[in-house]
Amino acid sequence: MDTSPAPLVEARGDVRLPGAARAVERALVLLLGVLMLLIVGLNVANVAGRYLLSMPVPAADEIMTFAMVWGVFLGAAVVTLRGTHLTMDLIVGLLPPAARRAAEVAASLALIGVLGFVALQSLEYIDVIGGIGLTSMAAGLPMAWVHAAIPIGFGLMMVAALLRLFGRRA
Amino acid sequence: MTAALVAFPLVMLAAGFPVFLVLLAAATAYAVFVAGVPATVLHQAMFGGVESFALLSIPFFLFAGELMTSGVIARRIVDLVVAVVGRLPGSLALATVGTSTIVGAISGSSAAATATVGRILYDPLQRSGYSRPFATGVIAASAGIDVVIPPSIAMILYGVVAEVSVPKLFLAGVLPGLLLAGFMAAFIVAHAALARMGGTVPFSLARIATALVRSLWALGMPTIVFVGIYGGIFSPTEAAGIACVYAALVSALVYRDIGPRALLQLAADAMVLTAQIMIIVAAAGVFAWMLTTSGTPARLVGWIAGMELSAWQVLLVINVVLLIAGCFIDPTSAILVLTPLLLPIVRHAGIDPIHFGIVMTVNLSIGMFTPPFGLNLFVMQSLFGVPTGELYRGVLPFIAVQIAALTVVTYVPALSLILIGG
Repeated sequence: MDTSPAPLVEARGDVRLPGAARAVERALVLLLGVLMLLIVGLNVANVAGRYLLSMPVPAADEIMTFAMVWGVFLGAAVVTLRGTHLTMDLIVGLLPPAARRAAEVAASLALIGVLGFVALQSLEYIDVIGGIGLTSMAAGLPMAWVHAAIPIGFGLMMVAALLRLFGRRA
Repeated sequence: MTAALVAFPLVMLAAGFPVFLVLLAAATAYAVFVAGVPATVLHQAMFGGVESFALLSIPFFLFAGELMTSGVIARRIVDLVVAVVGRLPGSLALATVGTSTIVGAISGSSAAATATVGRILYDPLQRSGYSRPFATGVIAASAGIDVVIPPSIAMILYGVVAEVSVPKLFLAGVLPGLLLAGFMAAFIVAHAALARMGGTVPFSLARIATALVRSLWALGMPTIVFVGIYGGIFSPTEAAGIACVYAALVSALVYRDIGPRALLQLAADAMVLTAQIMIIVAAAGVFAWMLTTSGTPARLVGWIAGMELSAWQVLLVINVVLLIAGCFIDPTSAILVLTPLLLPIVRHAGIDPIHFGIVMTVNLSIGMFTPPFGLNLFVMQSLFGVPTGELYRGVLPFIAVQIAALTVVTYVPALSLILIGG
């Protein structure tokens, strides 16, 4: 199969990760594929239901959007692990390797600090909406579950950043 | 303090920190140290930034693009375009432009188009007598057109941030996209005529008909998207989702180049690409909150209004700013960060927001292949190992050509607005 190479999805391969981390990554990627196919399937079922049976899938729009939100924050952990976040690497690319490595370490530490702080805010917010039992408008899903995508995704991103920080240089 | 809030993000950006992290860190610092509001607002603004049905079309179009730009489909489109333009001087370079334009109507990713078209045409271009810089330049620059030809991820993002209709933006992008292709084509024909390069194949209706039949399945996808949206059958998001199913069926049943395993892999790839873009959308949600609360856009408008510039001067200044920004940051980040800042200025100057969306998109499409940070250049470099010097030399003439087209798009609003009846 000759798929488009999509250079952005490929890992840079400069860090060697433990086997367990690779296994978790594979599982996460599989989950993302399933989420994507689920969203596409739900969309077709909704359109087909509306036109063929004049009965759209209830709350389809909402469920698809929530699935995407989860996909984004879980997928961001994969992007972090692969080191493929969009950056402006023009200036840092001109630096000597030691300085570049220092900038990379600083970026990882900043990621862990900022995401950790924001994840704590998320948990506080989720505690509030969970406490009052807020549910989504169409599907009646507990909104705390939907919002949990952010602290869980951020937690995984922090772990991914740590793994890259301490991973053996290949 | 304000100076620190501007300087600190710039330093982080220069140090190669991820764009999303820079935006999120700046907004977090603002919320904690300046605004003194409960920091849970960070979570709320971020969640609000991504929880949008309109944005769902991004994973859909990325997935459809991954499915449809497999080798077989792109090659058939190349054959079709070569059959049509084969007799003209510079036919293979023209075919590069034509193929990229058609691929643009199938996929929303310019970098992926560079790779797909490059893999097929990079060697044939050089065999037919083009220098390596020229071959590189024409491939990288043509793929830039994909950002403007709908469906366009950049336009979806602009539509969501600027709160204008995405279907209208798509329609408004058609003529400017074709104008870019036309300017490129004219340059190529003139160049080939001067270099006395002939055509490759004689003109034959039978050949065109055969190639057309062979590429019908590929051309079916943009047809479904356009007829679906403008026939009022689907919303743009739904049309994008239907396009995925169509692409999956065509790849699996007609071209037989993917199985269930590959389908799952491509779906996962599309979701990872989505995350790469949308994590910036999430962070930009918080950044936009910071800008609005701090009153920055209003101050900018006041400052610009004080200069008493006319609409065309405002557009000129903004174009220069966007061209420079496009050299350094990717279209996703540029649109998400700059739209909330520039749109109030543009509205104040009486410029149509749809027209401005197209101007912005064309600017950033040029940024896809301007040194030093044009993504398409990196793709060419990683695929074919083109040296940086040749790469830059190759794209230079095309940058000039596209800036000429940009000037027309900027100062002839009718080109963007006529199809939407504006």
